[in-house]
Amino acid sequence: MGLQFAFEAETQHSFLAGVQLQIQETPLIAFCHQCQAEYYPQIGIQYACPDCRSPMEDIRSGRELKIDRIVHCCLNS
Amino acid sequence: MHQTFDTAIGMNLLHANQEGANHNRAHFNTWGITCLNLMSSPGAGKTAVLEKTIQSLHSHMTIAVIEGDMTTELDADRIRQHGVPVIAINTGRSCHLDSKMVAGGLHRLEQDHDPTGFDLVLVENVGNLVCPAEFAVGEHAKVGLLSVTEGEDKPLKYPIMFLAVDCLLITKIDLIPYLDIHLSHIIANVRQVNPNVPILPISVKTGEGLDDWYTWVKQAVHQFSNRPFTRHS
Repeated sequence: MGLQFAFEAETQHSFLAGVQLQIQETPLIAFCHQCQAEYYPQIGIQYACPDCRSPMEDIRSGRELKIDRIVHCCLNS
Repeated sequence: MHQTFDTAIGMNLLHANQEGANHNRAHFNTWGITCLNLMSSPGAGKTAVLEKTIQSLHSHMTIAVIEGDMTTELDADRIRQHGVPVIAINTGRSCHLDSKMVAGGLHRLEQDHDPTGFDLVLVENVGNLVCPAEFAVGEHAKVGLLSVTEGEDKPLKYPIMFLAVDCLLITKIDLIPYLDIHLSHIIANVRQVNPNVPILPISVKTGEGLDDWYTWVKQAVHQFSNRPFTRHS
């Protein structure tokens, strides 16, 4: 994955060498206004609502690009 | 003994770009400029559409172009031949324009010209169907281009782009007779992710459909610039 590769390339030989990037993927979830229900579009195949065939209008999850948390462990001498 | 530092950040990385985009938009609004962000894959015809658009609309309104290109000024040089100011932004390793780069472009526009003299700024984004859709630059509307040679399935493969656009040009329709594709299939796939977007099939080669596009641009400028065009011919 591009982000993982870039992170490793940018941190090696720096003070961040060895730092791990954990990517948490969020599923694509859409909301159908017609059915008032969430559904999982099939990426690349079908985005319309599987029940009523309404086009995908609202994305409820899957577009996030967030830094969730930073965890740092160090030896205290 | 181990000491652990663990802090929740919850920072949305795209918010910083959105704030910059809002700042650019405020400048456009102050100057009475409408900004359109043109996005497509490489080779869909953004520069060719820009050239035709400038030729046709330059007598009605004052236009400037912001050209995003990774390393060259080839597109900027093509546009300059049409007598409009062109601000070239080399994005370097970045595959899209972001709001900070465009802010730099606007400062250059402000230095060299009176920005209130423009009606329309056309931004030609880097050719890419993925990242430009996520990075607003302060535009009033996003215009997508999809050439018929790219295949019917592209709206399904790059749904965020086709979901984001406010107008979609289907380009190179003069080539349809030579391809195993159907315009109706492309449109149906776009409709899956963007049910209401205006879809304008055009050919720069034959001129088909271009008048509809020019009409759309004029309406956008009327709507967003909120004043008469600087030129009335």
